[in-house]
Amino acid sequence: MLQRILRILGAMAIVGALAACAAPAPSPGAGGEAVSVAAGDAAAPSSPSGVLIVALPLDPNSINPPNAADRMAGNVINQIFDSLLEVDNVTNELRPSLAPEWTVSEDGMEYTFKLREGVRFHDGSPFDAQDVVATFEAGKDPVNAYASAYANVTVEVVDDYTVKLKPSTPDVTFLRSLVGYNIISAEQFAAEGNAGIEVRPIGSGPFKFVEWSKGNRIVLEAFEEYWDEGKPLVQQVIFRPIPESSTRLAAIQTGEVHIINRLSADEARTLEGVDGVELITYPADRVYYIAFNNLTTGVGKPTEDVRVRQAMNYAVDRQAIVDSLFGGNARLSAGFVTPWNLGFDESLQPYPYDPERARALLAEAGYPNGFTIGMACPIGAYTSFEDVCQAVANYLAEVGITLEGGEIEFLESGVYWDRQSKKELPPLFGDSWSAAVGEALPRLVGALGGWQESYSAWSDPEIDRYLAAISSTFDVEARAALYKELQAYMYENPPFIYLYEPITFEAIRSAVKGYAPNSVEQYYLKHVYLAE
Amino acid sequence: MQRYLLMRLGQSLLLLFGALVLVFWMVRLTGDPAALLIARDFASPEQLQEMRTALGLNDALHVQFIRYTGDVLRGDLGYSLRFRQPVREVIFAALPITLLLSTLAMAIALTVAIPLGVIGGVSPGSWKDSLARLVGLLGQATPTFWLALILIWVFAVNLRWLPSFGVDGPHSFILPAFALSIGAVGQLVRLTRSAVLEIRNEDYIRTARSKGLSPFTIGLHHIARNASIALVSVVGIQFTYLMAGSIYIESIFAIPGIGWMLNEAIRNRDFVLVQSLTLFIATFAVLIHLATDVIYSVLDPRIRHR
Repeated sequence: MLQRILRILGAMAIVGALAACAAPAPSPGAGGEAVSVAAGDAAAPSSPSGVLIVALPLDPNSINPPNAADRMAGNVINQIFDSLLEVDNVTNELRPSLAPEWTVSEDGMEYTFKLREGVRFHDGSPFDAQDVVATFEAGKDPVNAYASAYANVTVEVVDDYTVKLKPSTPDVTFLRSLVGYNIISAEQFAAEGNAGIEVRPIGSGPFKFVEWSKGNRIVLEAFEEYWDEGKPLVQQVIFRPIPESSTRLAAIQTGEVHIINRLSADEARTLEGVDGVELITYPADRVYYIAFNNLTTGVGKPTEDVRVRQAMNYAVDRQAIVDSLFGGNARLSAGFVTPWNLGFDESLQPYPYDPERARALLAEAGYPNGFTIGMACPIGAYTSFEDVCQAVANYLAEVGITLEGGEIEFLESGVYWDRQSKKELPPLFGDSWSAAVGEALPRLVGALGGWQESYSAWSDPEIDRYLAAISSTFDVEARAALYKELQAYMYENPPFIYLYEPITFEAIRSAVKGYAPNSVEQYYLKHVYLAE
Repeated sequence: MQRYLLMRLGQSLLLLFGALVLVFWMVRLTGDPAALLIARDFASPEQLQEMRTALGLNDALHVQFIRYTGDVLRGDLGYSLRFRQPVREVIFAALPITLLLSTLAMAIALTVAIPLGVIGGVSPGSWKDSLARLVGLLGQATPTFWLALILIWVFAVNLRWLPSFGVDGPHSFILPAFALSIGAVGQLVRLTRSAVLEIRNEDYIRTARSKGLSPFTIGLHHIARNASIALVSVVGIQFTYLMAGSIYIESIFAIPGIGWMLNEAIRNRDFVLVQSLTLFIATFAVLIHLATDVIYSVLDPRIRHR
């Protein structure tokens, strides 16, 4: 009996250990920044041919657009559905998709779209204004994970091929975010509801849904009546979820799959020089940082002094961390705006490693011998981030800043984000934040929005003013200028120890042409073909 | 006999209830499922709150526990948040795959281990025995996930004989089943060998031999029958180990069975699926043990009379 209980306890320990490996789901939504593209050197076929097999690191949770909780789900959905607008993954510009023309009202509260005529859904039904209405109607059903994103938009039908979209609050990124609202068929929604879309999604996209054998394969077939002349270029797309990265590495070498992603730098290195395999690298639009807190646990701590925060930025050797842990494969951050974001200020250089300067600043602030402060980091959330945190703590110790309890408080990521949302983490905590709308605004507001934002631990009236101004400036040039000013301010008054933006590694078979993922791992497979 | 079985049944039910309690509370130690179901970069605090209410996470823990226990007793394993399907449907879609894989692995283990163990046991000290002992040791010492990666590297990447992942037909199960069987091979070789070794020195074997029975008859009727008692109990336990081993093997080979599903459920904080799946696996293990006890008592009269 005892032996059996022990056996069950053993099994539970395995369960616990696996839970610690959980990774966070990346945010969904539209996005896109230009990245290097392997230019096609063979001519594209005149009609769809061949079977393209794409490995996914995980099985999508759902392929009903308002339920897609992770990037991989979004990538399957993007091949089945169209949106009103799409992003050119090479130039990073907004492009018409189902809406060839649009106008925006002065105040940014009304968006009028002319809809493309003659477009058909996979079930043969024609596309018109009613489908846009149905999309938001279906999306805001509370059964969906992202219902509130749909509930915030009102749709007004002007005529069969003209609609007005009205966001409930002014949103400068609204146009860009529309890339993430995939248009469903009103006919299907009326007949089958969300449950029907969940099992048999019908879109107007380049590929139609054939079959989903959960955990094994998702099969899509070229849609002959696709409105974009000459697309798609492959006859079939098959997505194969392969959770284990070593297995993905094997499958690309055997040619069982054509595209694999989410590789570490080390894993990518093993593919160098492998016959028939090419590596693709691009910087991710994700900033890693150690956050300060001036709302709860950090009140009254030395980190409220700007000189201390500057000192801590000087104290960390980012380059050494990135070199030793990522083989140099990351971009050092000088702020919260990345090169892929609107208004990026390239003149700002990352804080240099200067422990002398750090000590001097600390002395000036009245802490010549440093101080002791609490720090926390998540476990199992990000590649090597535990080691990054440890390295940061060691650099801080070199200038006299030691940790409360003598060590970093490492927490399992689920518990970590729970405590982060309650603002209960220690005054220093590590994390990262992506941005999927081509601008840093969501990242900035999310991490610096003060009390009203659940994951923010920082409030600075000057930053608040900038964020308010950016959020209400619909002119793109003017907004870019505001981002530049804010970067300069946040460089001098750092609310974070800025760390790095990682580089993403993917691998493709050499036969794959026209594959261009953007900095948030999104891609459109209608441009992809197989050269034989 | 009946009293013995009733007692075992009672123990099993108690064990299952213990598993239920443990799983329920441990799943809740890993953090807020709602926060993980919605991506942090995208969700507002209101959305999180809505989610918690919808999932019943705002009720007191003991209320949640009583509700869950009641549901389980009524045969309702809940609704999987990850798969958006009743847990029962999700489990029954994955179960055949895992059963097939485990059965294949067990078949491989028995086919390799029993002959090797018997050969080693009847001629101790010979080179055949050394081979059996080596296989036994290596089998038990080799981690299945390591062997899985080596098999992929040799048979898929280099020789291109077999697929490296997925379920595309019967050949997809060959590498996973071999990798999964290795631990069972090790233990069964050692066990068969030592059982045979022990039995061949028994008085009744000497008697049989002196009666002039052929070695084959002795082997089949006296040695094999008695060795099988030891084997039966271990085969049952090994089968539950194989099911547990499928957590690694299915994830490495991207095979959508119970092990893959448990991994997926844990990664996505689908706490309903984690607790129901664990309970299901525990029930399965308990049933196998119960069946083992019954078979055992049929094979060995001493046990049922005890």
